[in-house]
Amino acid sequence: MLKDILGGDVVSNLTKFPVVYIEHTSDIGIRASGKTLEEALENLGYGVVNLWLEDGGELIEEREIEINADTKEDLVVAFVNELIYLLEGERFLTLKCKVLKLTDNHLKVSLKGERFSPEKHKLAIQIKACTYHNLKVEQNEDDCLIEVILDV
Amino acid sequence: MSNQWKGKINKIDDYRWEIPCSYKPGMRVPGIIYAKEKMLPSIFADQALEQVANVAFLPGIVKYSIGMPDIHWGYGFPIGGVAATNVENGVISPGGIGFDINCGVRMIKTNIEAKEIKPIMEKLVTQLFSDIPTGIGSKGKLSLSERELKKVMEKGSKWAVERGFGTDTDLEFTEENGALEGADPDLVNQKAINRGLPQVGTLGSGNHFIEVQEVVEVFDEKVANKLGLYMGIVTVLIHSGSRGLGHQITTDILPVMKKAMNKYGISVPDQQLACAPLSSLEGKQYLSAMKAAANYAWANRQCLTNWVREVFEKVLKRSSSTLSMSLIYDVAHNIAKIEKHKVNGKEIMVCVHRKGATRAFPPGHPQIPALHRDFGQVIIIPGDMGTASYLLYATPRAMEETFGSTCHGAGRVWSRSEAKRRIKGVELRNRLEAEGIIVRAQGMATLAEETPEAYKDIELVVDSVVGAGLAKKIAKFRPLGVIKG
Repeated sequence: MLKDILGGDVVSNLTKFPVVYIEHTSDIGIRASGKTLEEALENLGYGVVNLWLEDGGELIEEREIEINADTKEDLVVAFVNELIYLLEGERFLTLKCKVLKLTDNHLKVSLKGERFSPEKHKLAIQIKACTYHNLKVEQNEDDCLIEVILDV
Repeated sequence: MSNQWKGKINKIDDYRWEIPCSYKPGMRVPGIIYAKEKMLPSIFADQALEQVANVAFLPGIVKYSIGMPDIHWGYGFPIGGVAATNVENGVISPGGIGFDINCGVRMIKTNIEAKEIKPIMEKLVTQLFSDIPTGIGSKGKLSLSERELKKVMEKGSKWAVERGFGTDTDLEFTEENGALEGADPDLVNQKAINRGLPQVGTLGSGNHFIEVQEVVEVFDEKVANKLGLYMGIVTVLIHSGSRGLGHQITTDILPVMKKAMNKYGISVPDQQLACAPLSSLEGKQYLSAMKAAANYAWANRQCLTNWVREVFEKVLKRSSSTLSMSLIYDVAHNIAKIEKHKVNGKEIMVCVHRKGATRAFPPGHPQIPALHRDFGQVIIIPGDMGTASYLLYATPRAMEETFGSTCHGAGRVWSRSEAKRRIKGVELRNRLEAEGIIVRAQGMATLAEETPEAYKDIELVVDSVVGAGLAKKIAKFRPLGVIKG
């Protein structure tokens, strides 16, 4: 799957708003949009999962994460970093995200996925972290856009 | 690529180019790029030079914001960037070290002739791949308690040697003897511990690798022989870092640094350059946590060294001491160090950020192994997996000009996605095997990302630092077998 999606191609039509991967010499960027910031965040989560997985997984386990931060930008970076941490630190592989609550400095997300097993899930890429480099969080009247660069 | 840098540089000489302070208001010092003219198109192809200019904004930066010939676009700092900040009034920026704290490379020599090993290369590489934990989510062979992990972060390579994973001589030939003083594991939070605990002694993925090579050219016979290197003998390169532990430490410090910038009234053009004064609590705490991760990385490479020796013993049915498998050197290429350097004729203490850059200390320096003191610290420059790597030694000029630093490798030119679009992993593996290079990798996609074409020409990179007088060549190595995560 990965080979078909990299390089600026549209990868998701979950909504009318897509997730697009951005070229970067050493890293990979994700541009996620949505009607609302909540939707853009969910699409961003999808963009991360889609980078990891060559094949699918099962929605067996559910978790809730809560993040407090100073700004929306910080919330976005912390959200992606939490998905990365859960995978490596707690071996929970996120497959689906649903934003439950979002304010300027608080985010609550429901995650569905399963226990990560290297035998079952062949991950296509290791994401070290989400950076603040060229970070964009734009909220317009009828659409929202998030851009992040991941260190891979 | 459409992301061409539009700025202008001034030629200083054939190997030095300046970005003047006038390029961008706010630059405290000029930028300087070390590169042959032939390399400039690849350097201009992305935003790396803009990042050199951005780094020049850091409070307390002295002399220059430096770009090495392998420079490419990173986040915050360019990869292949060096910046020194005055400890009295300067800052430390985690972006100048990177997420993979103390990512580095070490070279092990052997007394085996390449012609002896070539017929069993496939067996050797397959054994390395099966015995050494590689890839995403792989767990190490060690089961450590959190208490033990704290010892890893305090003692670095010495911890591994005490566990029987190496010798005291290995410590002698590791930068900082494999441990920075002043590491504080108590500043490393639970998340970083959870990520780091299962990963001690694992290679990782991405551009990390273990490569079996042969010496194909010797430029300085006297130095090479002193190091125990001769034409046609086999060497091994190990490239890895602090794994998830280092990534998490950096992840968690960045919001702290952003707050610190407000607190101390610092402004930088890229949030990923977030920093805090070296004299502040935030700066000191980051430095101590960074040292803990650096020590973890050295312990990690020391464990990997032990597994490599075990595999050679198993396949060649001789002990690693009979095979004379000693360490040539281990160098960090993502790290910050507090060092003494001459600035404007005066010796001062600075924090040297080396992001994708290698330390290069001159002959006679007390911090390099006694064996290197006659000629200069040994520098390892890994190339891509299809071409060549180099061993160099440092000159006094590197100390005078670049805070004792030089380049760290080939440096990317293609993005990972471009590499994957153009190259298929399976085809690449077949092509390399046709050239006599056996490759084993967890994923074909990762393999394609690391295709030789994705990197700058290593010859040009090495010629640039040698031409600029920062280093001299010892020997050149050709890959025979590679394992990748």
